[in-house]
Amino acid sequence: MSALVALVRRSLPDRTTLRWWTWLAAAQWRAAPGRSLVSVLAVAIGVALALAIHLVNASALEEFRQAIATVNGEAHAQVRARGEAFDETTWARLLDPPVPGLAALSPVIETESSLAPASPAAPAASAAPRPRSLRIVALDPFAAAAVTPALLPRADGSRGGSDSPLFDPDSVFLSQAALEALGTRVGDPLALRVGLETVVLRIAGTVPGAAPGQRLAVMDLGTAQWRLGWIGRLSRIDLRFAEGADREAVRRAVTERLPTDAVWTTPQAAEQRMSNVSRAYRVNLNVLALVALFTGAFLVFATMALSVVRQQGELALLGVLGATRRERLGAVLAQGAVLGMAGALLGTLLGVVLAAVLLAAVGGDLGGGYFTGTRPRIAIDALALFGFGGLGLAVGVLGAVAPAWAASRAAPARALRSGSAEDTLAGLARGRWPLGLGLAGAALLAAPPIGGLPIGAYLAIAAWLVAGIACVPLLTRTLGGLLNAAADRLLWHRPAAWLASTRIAQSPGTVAAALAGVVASFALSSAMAIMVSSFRISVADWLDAVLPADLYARAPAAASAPLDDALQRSIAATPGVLRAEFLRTVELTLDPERPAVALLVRDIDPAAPQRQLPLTGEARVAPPGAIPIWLSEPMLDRYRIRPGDRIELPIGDTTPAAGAAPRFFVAGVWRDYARQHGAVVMATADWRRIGGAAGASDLALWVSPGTRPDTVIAEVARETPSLAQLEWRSAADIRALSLRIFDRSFAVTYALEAIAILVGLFGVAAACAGEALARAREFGMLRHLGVRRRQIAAQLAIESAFGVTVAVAWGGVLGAAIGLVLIERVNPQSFHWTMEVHWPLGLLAASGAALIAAAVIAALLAARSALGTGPLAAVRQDW
Amino acid sequence: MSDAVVPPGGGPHDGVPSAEPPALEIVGLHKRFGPDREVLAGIDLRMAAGERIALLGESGVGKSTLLNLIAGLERPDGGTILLGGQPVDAMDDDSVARLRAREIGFVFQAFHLLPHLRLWQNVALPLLLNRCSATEARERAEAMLGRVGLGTRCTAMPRELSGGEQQRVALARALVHAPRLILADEPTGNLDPRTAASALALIEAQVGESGAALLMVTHSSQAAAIAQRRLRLTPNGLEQDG
Repeated sequence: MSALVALVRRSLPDRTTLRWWTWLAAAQWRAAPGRSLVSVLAVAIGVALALAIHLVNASALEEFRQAIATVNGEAHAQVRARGEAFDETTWARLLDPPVPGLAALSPVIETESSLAPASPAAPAASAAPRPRSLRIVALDPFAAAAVTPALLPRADGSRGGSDSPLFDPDSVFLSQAALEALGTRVGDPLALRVGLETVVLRIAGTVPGAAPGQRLAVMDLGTAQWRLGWIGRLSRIDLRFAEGADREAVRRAVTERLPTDAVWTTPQAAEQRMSNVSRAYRVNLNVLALVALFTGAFLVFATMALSVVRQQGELALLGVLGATRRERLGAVLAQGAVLGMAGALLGTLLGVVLAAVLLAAVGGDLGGGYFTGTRPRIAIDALALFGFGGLGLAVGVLGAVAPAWAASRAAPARALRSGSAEDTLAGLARGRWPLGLGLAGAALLAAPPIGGLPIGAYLAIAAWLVAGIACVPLLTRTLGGLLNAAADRLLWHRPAAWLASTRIAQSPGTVAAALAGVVASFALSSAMAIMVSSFRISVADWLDAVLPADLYARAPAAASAPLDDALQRSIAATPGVLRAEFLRTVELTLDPERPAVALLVRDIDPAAPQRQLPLTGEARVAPPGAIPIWLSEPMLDRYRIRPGDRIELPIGDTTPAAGAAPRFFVAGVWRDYARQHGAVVMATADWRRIGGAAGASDLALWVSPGTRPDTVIAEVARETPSLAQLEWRSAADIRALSLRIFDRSFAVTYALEAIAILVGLFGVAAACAGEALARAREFGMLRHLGVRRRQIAAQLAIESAFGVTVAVAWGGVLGAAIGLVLIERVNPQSFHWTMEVHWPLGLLAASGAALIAAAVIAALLAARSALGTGPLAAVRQDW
Repeated sequence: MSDAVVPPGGGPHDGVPSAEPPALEIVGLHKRFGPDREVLAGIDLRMAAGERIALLGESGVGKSTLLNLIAGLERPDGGTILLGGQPVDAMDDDSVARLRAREIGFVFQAFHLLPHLRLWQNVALPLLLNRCSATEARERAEAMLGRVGLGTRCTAMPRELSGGEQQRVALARALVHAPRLILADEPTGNLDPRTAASALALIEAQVGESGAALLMVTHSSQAAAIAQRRLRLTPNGLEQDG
C-alpha cells in the first residue's frame, strides 16, 4: 500500500511543474480563446445532454419504482396470473388449510381501464391531454390492511364501518394525481368503458398513501369483480411471510397449490422487470446523448492538436531548457484537462437545468413510451453528477492524449525550427494502430449482448470511429498529393486554388486535425440518419403488410373479449362488409422475470401464413399433432427459441403426457414493431380446440367496392348499437398515426443528431477562425507579394471546402459502416427486431452540402476578420 | 529638411545612371496615426533605378510605416508616391496589389517562406501572381535558386534549410520576377556575421545584376556598407547619414 502511495506521489507533478503547466494552459486560452471556448461548449453540451437524459429517465424510473412499491406494499411475494387472470378459488386454496409461514394474503385485481371520453361540458383538467385510461387496483380492505396499507382509501364524509362508502357498488377512490389529471373532484362521476358497455362510478374519496404523481384508482374487490367484468377472477395475490419463516419452504408450499395459470413471483421482480423493459431504450438514448460528448472529444482533440502546433516553439524551448518528455506530455494533458473541467462544470449545471425543464415541459417520457403520462420530480443523485462531470473531464484529457504524445515525442532542437508543425502532427498518424483498432472493432461485432445491452457493438463503433479519424491525415495527404500533382498543370493560373492545393498537400496533419470534429459529428449523425430512415421505411412497409383491411376497430380494455360468435357473424353479414376478421389478444407470462407476451388468436391459414403475416424467413409446416404458432422476432432472442422448435405455452392443459413432445411448433417468425416484449400468433381454430374461450376484442373489415367506410360503421352500429362504442379507424388513419408516433418517438433522436452536427459546425467555424489567425504571417507575406485580399479569402475558402468535403465524404463512409452496426447489431441486440437497410442519400447529401457551405461561409468570415491589419502587423513586427 | 538630402527632381548619384526614370519618387509624404501622432511629416525621396539605399533609424521612428506606404499596404495622409512613375497612393486596393506583384520584391528579417511549399514553389510565387506559365515559372525559379547557390535543393522544404539558406531563398523570391524595387527589412538580422557577410555579398551582386533599386532597413553598419547612400529617418525627416 505504501509502495502504491509512493508511486502515485512520484507520478504527480510538483508545485513548480504545475505552475508552468498553468502558465501554458492560460497562454493557450489567451492565444485561441474562440477555439478553447468552442471546445468547452462542446464538452458542456455533451455532458448536459447526457446528464439531462439520464436524470429524466432516472426520475421517471424512480417514480415508477415508488408507484410499484405503493401498489405492492409490504408484500414479500406474489402469486400472479400467467395470462390476464386466474380463478379466485386459488385464494381459498391458499387460505385453507393455512400455508405454514404465511402471515397474510391479500387478493388483488390490477387492471388498466379505458376511460369514457369526458363530456364537452367538463372543465379541462390542465394543459396536458386527458388520459385515455386509468390503472385500477381492487382489493379486499381487510386483507389489504396487513399487506398494502398505503392503498387503503379514505372516504369523504363520516360514514364508517360496514356503512362506509368503500362498499358502495359504485364507489371508486382516486389518488390526488389522478384527480388532477382527470380534472375531477370527490363526488364527481367517473365513466369507464367495460367491453361494449359504459360503467359509471362515483368518486367517493382519495388514496392518501399513493406515491406523488401516481395516477391510480382503488376499488373494493367485490365491486370491481361485479362492475368491471372480473367475476370469479383475480390478477394477483399479495403474500406476507410470518416472522422467521423459511421463505423457500413457503414458496414450495404455495407453488404446489397454484393452478397452471398462476405463478409465484416477487415484488422485486416486478420492479426489476420495469427497469429491464426500459433499460435498452434508456441506455440507447444515453449513448445517443453521449454522441455530442464524443464529438466534443474530437473537437478537444482538434483544438489541442492545433494548439500543439502553435506551442511547438514554447514546448521545444522548455525541452531545451530541461523539461522532461513526461513533463511536456503533462503540460498538454493539463491543458486538455482544463478544457474538460470547464466543460464538465458548465455541462453539469446545464444538465440539471435542462432535466428540470424537460420534466416540467414534457414529463418523464422522452419518446419511448415507457413513462407516458408521468410527471416526476427531478431526482438528483450525486453519483450521476460526478459520473457525467467526470466523463467531461475524461473527454478533455482523452482528446489531448494524442496531441500530447505527439508533442512530447518531437525532438526539441528540431521542433524549434520553423516549419516543423507537420513533423509534430505526423506523429499522430504513425503506426498501424488504426488498422489494429479497425480489426478489433470488427471482432467486437461478434460479441453477444451483455445484460441485454449491445456493449460489443458500441465498442466496435467507438473503435471504428477512432480508427477512421486516425486515417484522415493519410486521406488528406493522399488526396492532397493527387491534387498537388495536378496543381501546376491545372491550377497554376488560379493563384488561390494553387496556393490552397499546395497547402493541403503539404499540411495533411494540420488539415486533418481541424477536421476531426466534423468527421466524428457527420459520421455519427449520418449513422443515426441511416438507422432512423431504415427503421421508418421498414415500419411503413410493415404497416402496409399488417393493415390489409379497410377498417379496424378495437374494444376498450376489458377482462373478456366482448365480440362473441353471434356478434362476429352479425358483423360479417352487415351490408357493405366484404370480409371480416377477428382477433383476440391474451397476455401470457412465460417468465415471471420478464414482461408478459401477447398471444394473438386470429384466423390464419397455416398453409400460407405469409399472406397475413410479414414473415422474415420461410414458413414451416407443423408436424402432425403439433399446433403451429408464429412468433414475433423479439420472442426468439428473449426466450432463445428457433424456428422449427417445439415449445410449451401456458394455455389450457400445460402438462402433456410424460415423454410427449411439447404441443406447439414454431412454424415461422414475423416482424412486429408493435409489441417489443414479443407476440405469438395462433389460429383461432387451434385456440378453441385446446380450450380457449370464445370471443374477440379486435376486428378488421374489408369494405365492398363503392361502399363508404362511414356507411359501413353506421350500418354495423345500427345492427348492434353497442358497437358504436368501439374505437373505429381506417387503415390509412392507423398508418398515419403510427408514423406520427414513430416521429414523435424519434424527436429526441433528431434533436440530438442536429446538436451533434451543430457541435461539428462550431468546430469548423472555430477551426477556420483559428486557422486564419494562426496563419496571419503567411497571409501578411502573401499580401506583401501582391496577393489580393479576396484571393487569400478564396484560398481559405477552397482549403475549408476541400477539407470539409473530405471530412463529409469520409464521415459518410464511416457513418454508413456505423449505421449498419446500428441496424444489424445494436437494434437486434437491444430491441430484438430487425429492419431493412435504406439509404437516405438525399438527406445525407443535403446535410453534407450544408456543412460544406457552412464551412465556406465560416472561412470567408474568418478571412474577412483576419485580413484587416493583422497580417500586415504580423510581418511588420520584424521592421 | 529632407531637401538637403534628396532634392526634388533628384539627380545622379555615385555610379547610378541618370537617364532612366526614377524607380521611386516620394514627395511631401505625411502619415499620422490619430490626431496627435504624426509619424512621417513631409518626407521626400527619390531613388534612381539600380540605386541601393540603406535606411537607418531608431526603433519606432516610422521606418516600417514608410515601407508599408511605399508598398501600398497603408494609405498616406498626404503627399505622393510614384513607383516607376505610377502613383501608388491613387490606386485602389487591387491595382496596388498587382503593382506590388509586378514591381516590388520583399526580403524579410524572418524570411517568411511558406513552410508547406518547396523551395522552387516559394521562389515562383511572384511569377504565379504575374501569370507566368507554370513551366517557365519553374525554370526561372530553379535558375534563380542556382544563382543564389541552391540549385541542387529546389525540391527541398524550407524546414530542411539553415537560416542563411532560407534567406538566400527569400532573396531569390524577391528577385525572380525582375522587380523595379526591392524592399529589404534587416535582411541579415537573423544571421551570424559570417553568414550575414555572405548574404550581403549575394544581395549586392544579385541586386546589382538585376538592376533593381534596393531600399534596405538595417541597423547593421556591415549591411549599410553595401548601399550607395545611407539615409537616417528621424522625427524631423530623412537625413543623410555619415
